[in-house]
Amino acid sequence: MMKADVSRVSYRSELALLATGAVALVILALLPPYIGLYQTQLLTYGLIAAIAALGFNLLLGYTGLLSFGHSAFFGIGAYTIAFLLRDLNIHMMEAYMAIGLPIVALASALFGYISVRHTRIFFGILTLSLSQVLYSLALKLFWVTGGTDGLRVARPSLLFGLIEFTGAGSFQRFIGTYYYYVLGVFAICVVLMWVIVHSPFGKALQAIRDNETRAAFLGIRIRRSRLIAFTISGTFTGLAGLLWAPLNGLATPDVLYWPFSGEIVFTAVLGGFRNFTGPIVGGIVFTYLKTYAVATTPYWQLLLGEVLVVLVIMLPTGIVGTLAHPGATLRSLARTSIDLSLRSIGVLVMLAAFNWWLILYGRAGDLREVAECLVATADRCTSAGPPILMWTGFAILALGLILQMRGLRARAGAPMKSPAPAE
Amino acid sequence: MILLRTVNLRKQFGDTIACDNLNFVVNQGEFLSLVGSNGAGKTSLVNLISAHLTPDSGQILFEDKDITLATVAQRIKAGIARSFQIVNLFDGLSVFDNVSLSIFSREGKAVRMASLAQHDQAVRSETLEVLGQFGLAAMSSVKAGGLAQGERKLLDVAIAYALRPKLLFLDEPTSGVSTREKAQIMDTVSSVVRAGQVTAVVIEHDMDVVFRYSDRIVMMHEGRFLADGTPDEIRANKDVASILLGAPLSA
Repeated sequence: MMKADVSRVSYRSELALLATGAVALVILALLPPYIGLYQTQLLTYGLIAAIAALGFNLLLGYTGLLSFGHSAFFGIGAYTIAFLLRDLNIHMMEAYMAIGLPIVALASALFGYISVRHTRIFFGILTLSLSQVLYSLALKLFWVTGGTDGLRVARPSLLFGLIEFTGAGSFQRFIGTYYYYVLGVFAICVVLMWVIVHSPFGKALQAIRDNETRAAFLGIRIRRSRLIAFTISGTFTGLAGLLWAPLNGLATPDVLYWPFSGEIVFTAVLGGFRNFTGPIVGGIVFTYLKTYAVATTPYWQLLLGEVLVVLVIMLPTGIVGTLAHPGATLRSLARTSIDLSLRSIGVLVMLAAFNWWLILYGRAGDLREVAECLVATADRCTSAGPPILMWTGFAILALGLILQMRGLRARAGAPMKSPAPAE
Repeated sequence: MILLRTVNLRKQFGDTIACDNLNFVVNQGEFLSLVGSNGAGKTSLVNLISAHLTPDSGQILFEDKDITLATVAQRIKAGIARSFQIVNLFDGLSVFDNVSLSIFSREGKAVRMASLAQHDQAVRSETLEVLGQFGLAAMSSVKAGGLAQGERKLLDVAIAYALRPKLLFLDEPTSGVSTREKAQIMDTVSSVVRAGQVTAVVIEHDMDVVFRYSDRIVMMHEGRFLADGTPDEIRANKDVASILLGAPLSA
């Protein structure tokens, strides 16, 4: 009787997940009237970033391949729309996707064919190099691509021309409608990706990630599986590029440049690449984080870099991983030695103080002013908070270093254990 | 009836001859132990037969078909599977998924991406059956990375067994476990293998285990076969005793 219960397929977990997803979708659908136009636009960017990260994570989280070239597929998607609009005068979003997705899939398959023969750093470098070839072409072939100016992308019609955006208030109507369009595509992407990673193929990818040799000895074709994963991954990211271009209104070489690939990696790490929802959360959070960092200080890359440092030191499983298993995160932190903990906390407190300064004074764009506040209380450095925090952080760091030195000295001075003398 | 035969199989690493023109025969249905000191060439021989290594010369015949140039996947399809000396599991996957993946691969379903792995009733039933045979059913939802060493060894064999091979190579299935666990593992493995009528070739160092479970024992030394016989014949062989005790071989 028991065996029958265990062996029967249960749909309970899928139904629970479907219900949770439906609730999340309804909440997202109800948001726009309450959050206003700007936040709706921002959230649309967030959903697009989530689609890109979802695709990227099929490679990183599920196949164990770290690509530094996914900006290429995002860029191909964005430029495809720009070319279709300029050269073929196509204004329909569905046509963009019908033509753009096969192009992105083909490009992904080509990049993948070259890259998946290698793993680890070689794979990363190859993907990075290939994407930078595209960036250079976009930059240099300015008579085709518009060079650094990029190409303008007008607002397309949606749902096979049923919804057009012209005349007064078209921007507002576009943002309001496009949000739901992107939300619909996002929901389809989430379901598709969920099925893929829970399919036998998805399990095979995870097996390749964990143990390539053993997977081969089960008869799994490693290179072919990686190539398929790469193609799907690139296509998802390319779809994000297709959705992004009309919202941004411009396709520029920036989205083909390697720092944009870094942002996609950041997104997955931020949310947590070891779980399915991590990249989704990471995509949305990163969009807000970057937007507010850019608005806060000209040194916004510094802020994002610090967030990455904190993530790697304190929350290696990302936002979702930490929230899902807070106990494991705390236990992991508790296992860290006291001196290492103090050094980490000291650095983090100092970074927090530095950020405080950046927010207070960095808006003017002069990093020197911020540095001056560190060593002397100039008139303009009116707030006492940052220096106090900075020196507190320094004191914690110093304590950590002292404890580390004492520990090293104690170990160096300890006598070697010798066998007990015979009686 | 001969299941596997190698003809003058040779593999050399630099100056070291790992397999020196070996003519190895495995009969259908037997539980064969491959023994010998470290560096004798046991694992190299298994690696050659399972396509983990390419031979310098010689032939490998499986069911009278030449598989010398066959790929790993082709050999698995033909019916050859193996486990590894160092446990090779998919630590991020559950125990259930570790075994079910073997079945998906065997059935040619490992490329399916439009259906959920958990919902394949036939694969699910077979996976639970295999896990039950190896005493791992209670741990089916545990991540493989969280298993104890003895359980990991059993799962390693279960993954290979789930491919339903005709010939199963087990490379030191009891290494790194306690004496009590050794007996448990070998009892389980030998009973499952014999019940499934699978021919097994086990590389093993523990001679108590070898003598207790084997139908036939082949002793290797410096890339060559030193002795081949039943446990009683091997026990009586002076050369084998010399190797095991570290004494010089008889002239």
